[in-house]
Amino acid sequence: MHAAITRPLARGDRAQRRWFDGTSSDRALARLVKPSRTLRPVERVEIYNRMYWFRLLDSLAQDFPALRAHLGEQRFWDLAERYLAAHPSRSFTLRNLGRRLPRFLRAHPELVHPDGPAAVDLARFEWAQVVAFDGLERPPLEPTALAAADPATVRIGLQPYVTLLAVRHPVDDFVIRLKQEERLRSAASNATQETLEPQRNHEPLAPCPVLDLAVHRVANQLYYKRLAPEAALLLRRLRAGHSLADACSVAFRASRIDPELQSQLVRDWFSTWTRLGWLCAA
Amino acid sequence: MIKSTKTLLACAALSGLYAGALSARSYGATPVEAGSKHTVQLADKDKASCSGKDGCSAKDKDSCKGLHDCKGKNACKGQGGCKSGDNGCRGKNSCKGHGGCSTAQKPADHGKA
Repeated sequence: MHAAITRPLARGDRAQRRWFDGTSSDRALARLVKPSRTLRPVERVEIYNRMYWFRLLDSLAQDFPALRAHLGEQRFWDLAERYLAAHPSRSFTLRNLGRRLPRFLRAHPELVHPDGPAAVDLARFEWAQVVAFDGLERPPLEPTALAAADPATVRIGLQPYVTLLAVRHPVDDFVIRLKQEERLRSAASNATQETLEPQRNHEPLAPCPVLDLAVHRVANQLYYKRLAPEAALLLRRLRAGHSLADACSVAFRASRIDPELQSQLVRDWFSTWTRLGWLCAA
Repeated sequence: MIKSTKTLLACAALSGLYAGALSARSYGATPVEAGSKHTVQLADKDKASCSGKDGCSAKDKDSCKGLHDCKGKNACKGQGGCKSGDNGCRGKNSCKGHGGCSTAQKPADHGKA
């Protein structure tokens, strides 16, 4: 029964008419399900089969609204169906459903041609928001715990819910712009949310120089923050388990920032990151 | 980079860390000024996924308020209470045959009903 309900839908979003062994689904399901007064067994099961798949599609659309807006409705739904066929839900929670979408997009650029690279960046950015939304939070770093630490060897960790991204498209601006448009449309219309489909944004998301972003949360709200390349490198090194001293030195190895300014910058960054709650024990 | 410079930077980092911790304490429960130069707020994802949707309203109004309580524990999202589909009737028995709810919001399906 589980297999019948979770099978991908056939054309026209109907239940598949052939059973797994190639025989008629109607006949196969008649062994499991009684007909009702008005519905055949396959029609009864189809209700749940469709419900299951529409729920998955809804969930994916809810987690990737910017990708949906960027690709447009038809391409997004086609992509979602292909993705779910390749990576069906295997978890008790739909939270994890879109985890493999960025990788899937990289492996199948033809599905989103010619927007492949931008789509990958958007999917990564939106998945990072899922992680920031409910990712694990470790106890924040207590400075007293570092009182006796040797600055040359001490290690500091980064909260698991903070995602560091290097993207080649201004996805942050795109998402903010999209939200502003949605707010404007909501304010201008009395229509219910249900009738407001995401606006199709046909403007190509132009490539840009590498952009370092941290996606995180503060007081249970989602935020992103652009990072200087050196700051991003430093945080990545910390996350990888390098000592604080090594991470700091690597961060500025190829930098043109005046050495006299580096200490001040590092101090400011750590002050901000501590206030944002990003740092935890390694 | 020579060792003393590395250590100097690490010391600067630690002093920033102390300064940040002190500053956070002085702000009390607000660790950072939301919307300040430090950070840019994204969508109200948590709000948007909850407010006014069937999964919340049908169960208990408090399930919306409680959304934040489960954050950070990994198992909140997708369990139903706060993440119902936009179209509550989609795929459910009650809508069968009514047309408007029988398909996902796919352009190809629009107009079928």
